[in-house]
Amino acid sequence: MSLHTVSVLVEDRPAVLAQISGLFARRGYNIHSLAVGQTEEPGVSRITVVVDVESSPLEQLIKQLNKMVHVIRIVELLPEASVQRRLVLVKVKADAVRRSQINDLVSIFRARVLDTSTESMLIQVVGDGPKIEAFLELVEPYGIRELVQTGVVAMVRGPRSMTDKAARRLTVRHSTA
Amino acid sequence: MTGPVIPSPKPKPPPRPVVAPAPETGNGAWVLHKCLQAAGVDTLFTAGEYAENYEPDPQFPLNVVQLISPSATGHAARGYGQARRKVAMCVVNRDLAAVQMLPAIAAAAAESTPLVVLVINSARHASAVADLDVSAMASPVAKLAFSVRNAPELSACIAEAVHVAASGRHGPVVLDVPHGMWHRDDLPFEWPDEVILPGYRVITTPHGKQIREAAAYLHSAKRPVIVAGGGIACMPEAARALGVLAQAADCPVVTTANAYAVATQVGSYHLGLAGDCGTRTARRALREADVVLALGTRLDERLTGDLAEFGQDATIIHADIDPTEIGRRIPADVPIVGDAGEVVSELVATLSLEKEPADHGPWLDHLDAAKRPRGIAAGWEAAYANIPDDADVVFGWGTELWQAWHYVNSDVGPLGSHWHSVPSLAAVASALPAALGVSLARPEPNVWVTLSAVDLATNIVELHRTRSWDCPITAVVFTDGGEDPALETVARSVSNHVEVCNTPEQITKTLSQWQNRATEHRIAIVTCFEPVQASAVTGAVESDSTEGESH
Repeated sequence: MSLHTVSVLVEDRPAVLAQISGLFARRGYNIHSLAVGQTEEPGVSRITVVVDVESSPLEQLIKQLNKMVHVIRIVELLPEASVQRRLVLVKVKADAVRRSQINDLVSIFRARVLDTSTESMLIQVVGDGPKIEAFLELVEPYGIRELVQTGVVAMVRGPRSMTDKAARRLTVRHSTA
Repeated sequence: MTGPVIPSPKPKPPPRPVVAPAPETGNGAWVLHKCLQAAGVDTLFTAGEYAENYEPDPQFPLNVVQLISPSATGHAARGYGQARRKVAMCVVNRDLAAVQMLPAIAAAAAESTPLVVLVINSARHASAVADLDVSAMASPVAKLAFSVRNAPELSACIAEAVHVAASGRHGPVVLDVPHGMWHRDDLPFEWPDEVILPGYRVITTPHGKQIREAAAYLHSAKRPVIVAGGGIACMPEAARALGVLAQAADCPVVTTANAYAVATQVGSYHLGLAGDCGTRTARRALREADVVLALGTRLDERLTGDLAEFGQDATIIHADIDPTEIGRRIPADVPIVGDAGEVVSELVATLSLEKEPADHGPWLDHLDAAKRPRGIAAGWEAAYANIPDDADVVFGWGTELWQAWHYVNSDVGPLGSHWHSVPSLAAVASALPAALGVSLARPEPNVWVTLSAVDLATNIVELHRTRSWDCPITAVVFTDGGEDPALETVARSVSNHVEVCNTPEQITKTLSQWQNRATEHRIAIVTCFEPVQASAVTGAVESDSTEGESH
């Protein structure tokens, strides 16, 4: 299996996310990460899915997604041609002695300390997969008390925009409505 | 059951005061009727009361069809949509009734029938949680399932549902309306000139490059074969064009069960049904072909059999209006997205440019040599041979369809071009309501349906309900041997034309008198056979063990 990042533009309607995740579930694909949010275009949301799938079922999966009436556009984002980020909040055990060691790691990884108590530090780290994994590996020996992370969000490098064409179609809709 | 209605003398109504015309708003039923009028739909299937507090507009005659069970109503709507190739509209007043319609919805999706099911849900308003989340339940099997969120958008949502159901690859759409919204009386009606869905794109015209590539493969092939599916059968012009293509490419044609009706257009190029119930010749053609052109078919498991063995050495050209069907099970070497009818016409045009006409004489001779007549029990033969050629024929699922396959693959005779097979998804007890739907779709119906005793017994109430309606059907009921007096009694309770046939001669005598169209339901109960075992029919014919299992 291999991980693929797919960006899906959808009409901002109720149950669209459920239908899409249901499609993944029915076809037996495991969603590795999921992020949903509004875009610059009113009425359009963008779903970024990282899915664990080989490339030939992926093609079928993209076709199935395209078939859904409220899905506007789908693009697979290749790692070498896109920027991919996720955000992790991690609470690490840290007494006065270890705090400075952890602070060193934080500055190396350009993470941020958001909160500190006498026995813990709350750290925010943003990055692509390998960077976050490396950071977590280093703080793990200190003891991780709690961890939460967002799904991956991603965007193609260069001037092209995924919403261009979609926006045009929507403009037609709004002007005739 | 309600008793007879005794008319009571009505007091003369007082003269109506002259008032200003009411603003154009109304309740859900009013909006629905306006929408049906705008969409040109003249028949409405319903399971339960949907139009309380609403007097229909006498200017717009609407045929409202309500059978006894919601399940039968759904199948009738499906049969109607399949026969008419226009949207069949269905309204259901309870979420539970909608759940009972799910098999009909799934079947409509499998056979690409345009069907809209409007559900008046138990939720009072859009944000309330319904007892049953119908749109969530239907969404895996429907082409589209959604809820109406804002009351003013009801008519726009109905327009959207009708548009999606009857465009591209036709299919069922489920529309969920909270009952609080349905019973409001301030709903506006606005019918859009054009439905714009940014994410919904239908590609009907195939790509020229793909067509040229496909035509080149077809022309240079040594052993080509065309698989025609429902996408061809649903359009008469596509079926006619297929006949021209078969000649232009000098190429044999095999069909799926849904596309069997195209056989009459293809003539001697037709090798019969493909797949696990298909003919020996059709299976051989698919196994030995070097180019397979699949048109408007899902290439489902019953057709392909073991995936590893299907078209191993063949170049697969797959054309379908639904891109997800291409490469879903069988990888396509030449994928063509487009309307099957347009693909066929384009291929004919491209092939006509070739200098030398295609000639696959040796391949056709080779397949001809494999042809053998199929065996069929004398009684079945007598029944099928007496179905008029121009009738609509609905074959029930089960032994009936299986026997029908044997019939169409035998040399008994051609069937008419109105063939409606009931997909396996629709299962038992769906053929009879589907036949009623087909009958409702025809101005002068002559609809024949083959049934099992279970199918008849389950739906006897529906025959009773429709007795006096203008939708007669002729049912041929096959029992599995032995007389069944109870069945006859039950049948007589709903029809004055019931015949029990114990010999093939009796069948011929009865059915030959029933050739002209019926004025009311007719039921022939055929009891003269021993149960037919699979081996009894197929064993004699499919003696060649290399052909594999026939069923």
